[in-house]
Amino acid sequence: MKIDKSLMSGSTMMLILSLLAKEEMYGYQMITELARRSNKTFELKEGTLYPILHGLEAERLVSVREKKADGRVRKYYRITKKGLKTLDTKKEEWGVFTEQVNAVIHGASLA
Amino acid sequence: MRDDFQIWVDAVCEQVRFWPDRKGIEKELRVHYEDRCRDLERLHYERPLAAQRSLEAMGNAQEVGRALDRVHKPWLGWLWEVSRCLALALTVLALSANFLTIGLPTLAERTRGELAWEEPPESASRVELEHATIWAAPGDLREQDGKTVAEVRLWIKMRDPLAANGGVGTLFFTWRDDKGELSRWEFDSFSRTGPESRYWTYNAEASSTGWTRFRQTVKLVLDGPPRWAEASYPLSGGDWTLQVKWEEAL
Repeated sequence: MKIDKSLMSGSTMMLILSLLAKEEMYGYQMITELARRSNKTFELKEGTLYPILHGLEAERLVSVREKKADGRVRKYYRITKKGLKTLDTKKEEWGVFTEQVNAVIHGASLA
Repeated sequence: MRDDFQIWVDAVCEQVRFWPDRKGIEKELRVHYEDRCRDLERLHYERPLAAQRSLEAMGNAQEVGRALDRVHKPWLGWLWEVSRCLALALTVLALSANFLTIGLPTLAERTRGELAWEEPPESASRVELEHATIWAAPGDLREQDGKTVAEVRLWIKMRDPLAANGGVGTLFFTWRDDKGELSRWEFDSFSRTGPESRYWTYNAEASSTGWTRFRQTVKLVLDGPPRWAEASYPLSGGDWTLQVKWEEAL
């Protein structure tokens, strides 16, 4: 099932940081991995990944190094300590958010 | 002729006002696009179709470009470039200043010493130190203003003249002759008073960058002609003396 783009936009950063939490990756690898893990639910327009990655780099949430593999030089992104902390915070926020959304849409009430 | 991807990536980069970053952006996007093309070709897509699908997957060039421009802010980019240039200029300046104030005089000193060097005579007394070897031989004796001036000729080979300028070790000499400790001695253009005088400073901890050799003459100002004179080094356990003898008194 395709997801409304606006639903995804707020969580893209968290998804990318989650991918990088385990290993360093290059852009195309992130796209394919994201599609694989989400069973193709999350498919970004591929060019739009790079403004996000460059933004994360500017905020020092990821670091970058160039590495040669398969005869071509790629930029590999790696999550930083700051990035890991931010990811934890984002996950926590996401947990609260989904819990409250579920509470509303399933009609639960504290009262 | 530009291919479709080149047209697309040019349209992206045009949006990025901080032009020094455009080349890197283009390179990264191109590698991505080629990765996608190769994957599709592995799935038996014809090259033109693989290229078309890969380009479609990249998204709208204007949108991507504008989003990149928001991240690659011109003022931030130029600030970074200017500070990098400044840091480089300051480093070059600091290295030049260091070379001019320390390196060049040291080099000149070392060259001067090397040119003026001649081997000490066999008869010279010698002391071997960890960071220096010193030879001493008697020089001229003469009367001057009612005093006797006895020259001691020294040959000094020491480690690392550059470190000597900011060295941590110091050789203290105490000069005396057969009548007792001396109160005054002269060395090159300046004179020292008191029995103990700081003479050479060297860096005992420094790793060697070579040795330098030079000659010096110390003038001892005495009440009368000496039979012998000696320098000693009473500090830091470096117990040694370097004695010179004059065969004939005045």
